[in-house]
Amino acid sequence: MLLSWFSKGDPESESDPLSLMQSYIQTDNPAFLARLIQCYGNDLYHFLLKQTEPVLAADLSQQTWLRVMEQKQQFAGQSSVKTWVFAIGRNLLLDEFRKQKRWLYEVEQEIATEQGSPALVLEQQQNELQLQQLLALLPLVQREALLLQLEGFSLQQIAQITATEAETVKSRLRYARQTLAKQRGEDDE
Amino acid sequence: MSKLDQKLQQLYQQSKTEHPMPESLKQQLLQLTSKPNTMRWTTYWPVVQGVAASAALIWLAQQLWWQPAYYQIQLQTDNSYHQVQLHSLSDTEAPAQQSAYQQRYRHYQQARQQLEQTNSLIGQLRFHDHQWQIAVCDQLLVKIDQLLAEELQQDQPWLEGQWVELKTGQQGQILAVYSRQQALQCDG
Repeated sequence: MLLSWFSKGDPESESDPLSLMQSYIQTDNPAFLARLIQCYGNDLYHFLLKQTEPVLAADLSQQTWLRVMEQKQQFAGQSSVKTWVFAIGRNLLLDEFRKQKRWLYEVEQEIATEQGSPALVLEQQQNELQLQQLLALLPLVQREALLLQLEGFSLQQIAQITATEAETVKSRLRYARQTLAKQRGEDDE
Repeated sequence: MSKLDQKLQQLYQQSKTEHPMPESLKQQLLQLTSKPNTMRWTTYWPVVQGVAASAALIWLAQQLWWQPAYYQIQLQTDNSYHQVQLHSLSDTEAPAQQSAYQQRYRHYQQARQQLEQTNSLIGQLRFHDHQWQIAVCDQLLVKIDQLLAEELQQDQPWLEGQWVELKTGQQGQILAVYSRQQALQCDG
C-alpha cells in the first residue's frame, strides 16, 4: 500500500491523457506535462500553423503550454485534455489576430471568392499548397471549425473549443463544405 | 464520406506529417517543463503522507512490542515521610555500580517487604514537580514516573487530591490504582 503511494507519481506508468493531466495537477511534476506535450504538441502546432505563419505558430504553441502550466488548476475535467489545450491555443490565436487587426471575416470571405478555381488546384496538385489554398477560401470561423473536425474533434468538442453552440458549428461546417464543393463543382453529399 | 472529405482528410494528414512541431520548439518546451516550477506543498504531499504513515506504524510497533522491560523501585529520602519510593519503568537496567547496587538492592528488598506485607495501600494522589505521587499519611510517599503513570491511567485518569487504593504485586510493583471514596484516617 505504501509502495502504491510512492509509485503514484510515476509519469511513465500513466498513458491516458486525462490521468496524466490529473496527476500533473495533483503533483505538479513536470514530467506529466512533458508527456502531454508529446501527445498533443504536434497536433496543436499544426492547427495553429494552418491559420498563421510558422514563427507565430511556434510562439503561440509555446504560450499555450505555458498557459497550461499556469492555469492547470482551472482544468475541470468537463472536456478532454486535448479540447482544453486547443481552446487555449485558439484563444491565444484570436488575441493575436485582434492585435494584428486580422479579425475580418467578411473581407476574408470576399477575398476567398476572388481566388482561382480550387477544384482545379485540388485535382492538379498534391502538395501542401493545396490545403493551404483551400483553407484560404474560407472565413476564419469556418476554417477553424473544419480544421478542428479534420483533427478529429466532435461537433460538441469544436463547440467547446470555439465557445459556441454545436448547431452553429454544424452550420459553419456545412457552409465551409458548400463553398469548397461549389468551387470544385462537386456535390458534398 | 464524400470525395471532398476524403481529399481534405488526405491533405490534412499529409500536411500534419510534413509539418510536425519543430525540434527546437519541442526542446524548448521540454526544457521549460523540466525547470522546477513554483514550490508547492502538493508536490511533496504523497511523500509527506508516506512518511507520516511510516512514523505512525513505527510508533505503533514501539507501543506494542518495545515496552520498557524493567520495573524499578528506588528508595529516596525525604524528611516528611518515613519512606519514599520511586516507581518507574525503564528500558535499561539500573547501572551496575557495585556499591550503589548493593545499597539499592537493600532498599529494594525493604520496599518489597513492606509492599508484600500490605499488598494494598490507601493514599492520596497529588501531582508535584510534573510527577504523580501517592502519599500514605506521613508513612510512605510513592512517586510514580510519567511512563508508568500513563500506563496506570489507561482505564481512568487520575485527579489531584483523589483518594486511591494502590494494589501491589508479589515483587512490590504497582499493579493498579483504584479510586476510593473514603479517605484514610491518619494517626496523629
